[in-house]
Amino acid sequence: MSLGAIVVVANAEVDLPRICRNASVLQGEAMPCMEVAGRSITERIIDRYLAAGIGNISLLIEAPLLSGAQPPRVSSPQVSVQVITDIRSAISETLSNYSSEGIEQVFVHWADAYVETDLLDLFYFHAAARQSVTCAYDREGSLPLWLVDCERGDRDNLATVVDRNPQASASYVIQGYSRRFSEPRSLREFAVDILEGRCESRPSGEEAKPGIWIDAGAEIHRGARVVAPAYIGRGSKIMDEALITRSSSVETNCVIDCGTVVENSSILANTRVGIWLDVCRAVVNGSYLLSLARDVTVEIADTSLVRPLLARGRAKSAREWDRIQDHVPSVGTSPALPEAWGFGANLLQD
Amino acid sequence: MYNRGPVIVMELPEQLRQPEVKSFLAGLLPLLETDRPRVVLDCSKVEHIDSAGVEMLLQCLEEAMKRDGDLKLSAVSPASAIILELMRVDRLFECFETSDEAARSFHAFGAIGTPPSQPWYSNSLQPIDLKAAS
Repeated sequence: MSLGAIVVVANAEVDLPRICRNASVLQGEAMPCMEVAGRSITERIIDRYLAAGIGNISLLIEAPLLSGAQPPRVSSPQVSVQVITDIRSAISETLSNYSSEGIEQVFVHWADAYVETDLLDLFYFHAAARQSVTCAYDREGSLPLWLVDCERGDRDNLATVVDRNPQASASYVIQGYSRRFSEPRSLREFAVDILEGRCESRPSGEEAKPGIWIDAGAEIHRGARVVAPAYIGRGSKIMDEALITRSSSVETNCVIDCGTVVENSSILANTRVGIWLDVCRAVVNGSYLLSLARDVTVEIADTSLVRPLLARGRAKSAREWDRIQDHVPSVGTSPALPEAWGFGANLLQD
Repeated sequence: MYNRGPVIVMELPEQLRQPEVKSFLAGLLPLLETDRPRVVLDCSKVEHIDSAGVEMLLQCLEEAMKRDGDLKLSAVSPASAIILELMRVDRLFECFETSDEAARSFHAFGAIGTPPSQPWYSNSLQPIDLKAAS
């Protein structure tokens, strides 16, 4: 048995403002590339395949028109990254490449949903069902996770997977956790699930105290209070008398200024929250605040309240995407990325 | 701006930021210098409010309370409410759906009112005859 995986990050988010409310809080960033408790959804999906022992993983990223997104940080030689412009031909080409390498079945996973299931059980189900394509389901319906036979893969199978049409496939009902990312509030819900242990995925960094996860380079003032469960991201600063509580996550390179309370909220990467504020049931991204209680996103022009930090991280990610895009061909799959952009010997890493 | 008996209802401008605050405050402060000022600020037209706008609201509330009056808000949009919550001042203001409701809320309390010279919570007040008041 030889298995492979294709993780697809599509730029569907470009259309998000038309199809879902509050998309402005994302500021054009692709949700699968956004950090939740220290790791992006894409990175968490790849972690699952690596943990399952799948030796060949292709990450297909649709040409990032949006340079704000954070490039994925995965340091494994088993993962190859390709920036693509045509999803159909890229998946087709990757499947045929896998087939020529002797890989019989491939998981195709669109990164707009995170799924925790027994991949081996899914494989056995697929083999027993004698179908060339199997689609995973949960209680809400079909998930964007497929198991496809490489050898038997024909145009119909490809259309089933690319068009995400589960009708022409076997149906596998997952037993584990799943989370779809159809709107920005899903990011908050996923953070709560991670912090409260509702899924197997854990916050990044070190568990400094039970339920309090602190990532590398984070600074918490002696006078600040962090109540579990909570996550403080890489390089973030929590100032004097600030309070982080009720499953809040403060992602990479944020500043929570003196006396501010962050309660049941997610502060997305590169955001500064001003002094003596009350952020409750919200997702804050730069100068945008999504109130989950009111289901409204506001852009806050007053930089003394909240503002984006044009930090090294964001500028660096923009440069990284620019460099990746230099290798995007006009149609179809890009050639393999130069060594510097492959995972392992990897400029994507800090 | 218009008067409804003892209650002053005033519309806030669309932009309640640093540049607009000064001129608005110049118009409002004299109205707060009366005895027991009762003011409703109609927020229905407010599109943007920043920390300067919130500070102005607090200043007006303080002035009204100094003179045993009150300042209430009406038709607060979700976006404005979020800013008030963010700055922890939402709980300082009574908020109503409409200016009429806000104005009525003053009268509801005033029906059995106390002499303006005395605070309503004073122990030295004579017992109120509720039958007579109603």
